[in-house]
Amino acid sequence: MNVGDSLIALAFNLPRIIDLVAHYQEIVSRPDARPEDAAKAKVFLEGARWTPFDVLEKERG
Amino acid sequence: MRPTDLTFTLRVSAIVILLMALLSSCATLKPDTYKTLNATKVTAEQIALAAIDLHLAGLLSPEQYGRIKTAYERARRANDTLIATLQLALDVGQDPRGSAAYNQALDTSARLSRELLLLAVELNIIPGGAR
Repeated sequence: MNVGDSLIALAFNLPRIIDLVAHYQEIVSRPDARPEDAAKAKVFLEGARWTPFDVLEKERG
Repeated sequence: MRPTDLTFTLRVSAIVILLMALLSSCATLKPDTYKTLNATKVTAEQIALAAIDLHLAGLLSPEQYGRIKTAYERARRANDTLIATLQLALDVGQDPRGSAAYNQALDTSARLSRELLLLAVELNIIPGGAR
């Protein structure tokens, strides 16, 4: 899959991703968030980390 | 990658970048913080991938490639710090908006992300745009 294909896939999946994001944004903003919800939000945040450049180079190379 | 694919990719990237630049200009936590984090991730990684492709095609000099790589890594580390402050807020059960560490991390991350975008425009990784 090239970059163009990836972007097309992203565009089609974006609404679903944004729904997921909207759910967790509410979780993190609540001081009384349940521990299990907070744990899910933490996992979601981990997914927002950028891939290191060296890793992208290896994937591309 | 065919030239048409590259053109399409860069056009779509420019749109995403315009959106991201608008969102990241806000230095306080807004309800769409998570959306911004993910839009930023997608945008930054597409810039990096486009830079790698251009470098492999001989269209980006080693010096230019080094600059974009450095800018990406600086912004990535700032983004990691921002995420760490959000995770810490979850650990202690506090709203991150009251945290000085969070606000500082958000400022730094937004500034370095904008620098990455502007450098991508300067190096023609993104034609037109985010200015």
